[in-house]
Amino acid sequence: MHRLIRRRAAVVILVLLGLLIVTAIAAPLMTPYSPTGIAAGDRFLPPSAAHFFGTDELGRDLFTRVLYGGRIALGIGAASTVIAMIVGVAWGFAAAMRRGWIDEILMRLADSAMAIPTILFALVLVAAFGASTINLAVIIGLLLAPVTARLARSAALDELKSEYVLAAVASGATSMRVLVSEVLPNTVPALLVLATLNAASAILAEASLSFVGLGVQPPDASWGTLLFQGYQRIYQSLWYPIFPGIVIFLMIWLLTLLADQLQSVLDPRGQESVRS
Amino acid sequence: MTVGAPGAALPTADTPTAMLDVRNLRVSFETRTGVVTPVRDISFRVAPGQRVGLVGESGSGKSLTALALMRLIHPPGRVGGQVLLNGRDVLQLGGRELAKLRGGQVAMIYQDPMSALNPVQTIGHQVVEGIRIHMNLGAREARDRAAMLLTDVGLRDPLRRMKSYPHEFSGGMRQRVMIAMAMSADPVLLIADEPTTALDVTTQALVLETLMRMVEERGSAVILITHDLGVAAGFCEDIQVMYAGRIVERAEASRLFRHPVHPYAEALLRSVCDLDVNIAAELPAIAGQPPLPSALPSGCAFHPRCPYALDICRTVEPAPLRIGAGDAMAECHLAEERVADAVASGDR
Amino acid sequence: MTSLAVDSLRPPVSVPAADALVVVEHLVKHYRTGRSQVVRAVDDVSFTIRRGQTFGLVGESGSGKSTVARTILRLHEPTSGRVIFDGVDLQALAPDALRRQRRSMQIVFQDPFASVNRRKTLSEIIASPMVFQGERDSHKIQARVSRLFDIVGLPQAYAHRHPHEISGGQCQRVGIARALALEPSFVILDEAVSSLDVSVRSQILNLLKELQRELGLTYMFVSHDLAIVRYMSDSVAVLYGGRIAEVGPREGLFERPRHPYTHALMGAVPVADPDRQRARKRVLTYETPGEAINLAGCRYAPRCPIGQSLDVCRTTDPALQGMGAHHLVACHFPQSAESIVAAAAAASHAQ
Repeated sequence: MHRLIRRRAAVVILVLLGLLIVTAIAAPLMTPYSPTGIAAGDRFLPPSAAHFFGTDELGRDLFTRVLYGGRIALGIGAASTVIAMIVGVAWGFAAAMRRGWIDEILMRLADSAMAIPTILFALVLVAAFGASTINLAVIIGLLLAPVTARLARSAALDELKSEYVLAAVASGATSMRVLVSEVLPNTVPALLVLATLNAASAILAEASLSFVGLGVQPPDASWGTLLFQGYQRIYQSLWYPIFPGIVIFLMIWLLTLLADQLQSVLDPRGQESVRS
Repeated sequence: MTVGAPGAALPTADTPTAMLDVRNLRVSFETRTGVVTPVRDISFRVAPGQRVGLVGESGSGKSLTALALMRLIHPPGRVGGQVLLNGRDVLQLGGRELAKLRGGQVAMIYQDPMSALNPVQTIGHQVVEGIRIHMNLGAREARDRAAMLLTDVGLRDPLRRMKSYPHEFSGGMRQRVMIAMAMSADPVLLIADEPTTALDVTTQALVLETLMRMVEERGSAVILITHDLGVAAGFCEDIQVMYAGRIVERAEASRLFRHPVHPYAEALLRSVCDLDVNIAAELPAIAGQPPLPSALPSGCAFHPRCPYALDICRTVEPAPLRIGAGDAMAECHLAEERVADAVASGDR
Repeated sequence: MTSLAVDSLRPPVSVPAADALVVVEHLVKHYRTGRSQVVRAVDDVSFTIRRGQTFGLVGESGSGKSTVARTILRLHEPTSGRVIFDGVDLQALAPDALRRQRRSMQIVFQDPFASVNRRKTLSEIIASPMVFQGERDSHKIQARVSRLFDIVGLPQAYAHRHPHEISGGQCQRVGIARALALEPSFVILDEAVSSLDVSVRSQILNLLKELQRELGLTYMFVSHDLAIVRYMSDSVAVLYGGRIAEVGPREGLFERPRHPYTHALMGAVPVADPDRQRARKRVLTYETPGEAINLAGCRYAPRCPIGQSLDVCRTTDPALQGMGAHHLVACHFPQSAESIVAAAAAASHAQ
């Protein structure tokens, strides 16, 4: 962590991300308007001091809508990342520890899941189970799990090859012990990077689903929903879709940049060593 | 043995036979915690055809010295001083001249032959390529020369073997191929950086034998960098012992092994475990460990581990003391007395 | 080409059971690499290690020595063969029993930094065997860790440091402390000093010898460095191509080596004395490309100045035969130091 903070780029990214997250969480404090407050007379207003992002087709303040939308988007994003990590890591580690035919089965499952186009898969699941917030979080989490499993398995295999794991076995450690006490702590860096990238993918997935109308449903609105609604009414107000679009882009971009930073910090070759 | 004035300057470039004249070579790195100088103002000369050993442990700076000579140190590393090869300063050469120099007049072989050889090109291709870059030969002549070189290093049936890839060769053979490539343009100086460290001891013996023969036939000078005193003993005429970025002693090989002047050289020699070591006794060891370039002791870098350390050793860095008429020297406050003792005890 | 009279009629004196701590019987470890290719890393190795002694295992890369070490401890499963540790057949143990058995038999690895968990503190690293074996009493653990720090010569203040904050020699002391944590009777030292600086090596070797005396340990010392093996060991086995070429008490083996490979090894060890080094005679021939390990017959034949040109060496695997006093050689034509030099010279001329 300290190494990360030393990098100026990383600090900037973290601050911006923090800002986005905090403003979303503290939405009620940031704006006097209600996200569902209809004001028929103020439709499609351009940005102004009163309405930072302008208003939508029902006169609702878009800035407020975006803030509250952030709560949903980030909420689903966070929840699905957690689900993806828990399921994926358990899946990948189990395969790595067991090797043999269990490994084969688990990985073929992952491969098959990955072979199905993501959006298609998502559509089918949403159609089957409905698009409530919880469902969306679970569906997106499960979508991301197979890739997570693959990568977690890789990371675990790398550690399992090392001599300190052999040393642990030589001292009488059980497989579970080895996993928890030796492998997991050493894979945390790689998993952290993975989690960050998963978060980016999750937000994008949710935004995409909402954009095609299968994600968060009105009157709730995530950024994707707002983007969708704005896109439908783009001739009436150019401003409408721009801000949700920018925010989605920013969030994903910042998360990806953060993952990059984490990657460089955690790369052991980044350690400067002067040897003769 | 006579003793020169303490701190006397080394002979200047006007002195004949100094093919390589390294003056105040320094390598430093900028790190987050400050500037670290793993090679601290070292000077030495190499005569044509001379075989010099650079011996040291980790943190001594020996490998960085080799890289600095070939100008292979890149930022954030910085190199200072002069490296005069037949009068011209290598550190000041432009890009094209430098490219001509490397592999031509000055060649280098490394510890890990796999990283020096391109795994996707045949051995033949690489050797021939090396030849054609530095010599003006047509394809056929270059190939013939390559075959001759490979035979010289002990590869049987070279024309057929040239079609193989590096991974099809054993470590010892790859190392010998690297020697062939390095010698292909008849360099005046060969820098060998731990060439046998990664090899089995039996293979090592063969490779060193090959190397010796190749350099003797061509009259190339060699700087052999190694941590293994035994390897240096068998191969080098003169040996320089490095510690914490300085050359602490330089002497002709036989004299060094019989009467080391610098306490570190003495302790190092004693701590080597060879086949005649007394089993019943404890192995002589040097307490502590070699210092990191970022945390050098004050005064003489060896003083914390030196059994003879005086107060002055803690505060003042010793200056080089010339020993005898040649290049022999030692950097130690006690050098004069130790040399006198050696004379008294009947050294030649 | 001369050979020495072989004492094959007198079988080696067998070691009384109580004296033998580790008995290795016909240990074999083969690895499958791809389609029907087998690497015979260890190919029928047998020897006995007596209690309180140091057994040296010397060989170069590809000799199988590290595989022998790890297979003895069942860190790798042997393809066949038995290892009897203090009367217990390790192959017959169930996983839990094996784990408990590990308390008595430990190993120190070559690369001190790679063999410790870089995220743990030194204290945690040394404590881990106790934790793995189910010890819950943290006071007991701390006390033992403290004691181990003293035993191996590490300052108590280092307890909370991490491996990257200490030197190679110090880290190897951590490795040794960890190996001693469970009070084993047997410790395998797998190239334990090979990665250390020369000046630090002696410190660690001295420490190991002292620990052996004070704690009554039995060692198996695996190394490619013949001189160090000689210094440390009471008995030595020379491994080549997964098989034992020569084995015997230290003195006998080093003063009267018989196997051409042993001669080659001894002749190749560099001597830190220029005059003596230059006076040495060569006993080697160049490696035969790609044919270094001969699977039918004697493994060493392709490189052997004697065996390269003899049918019997190339076709028939030599069995271990006695040279007297527990000294065994696997060779059809054991050689003295003089005769091997002559043979090597003759072979070089022929090339």
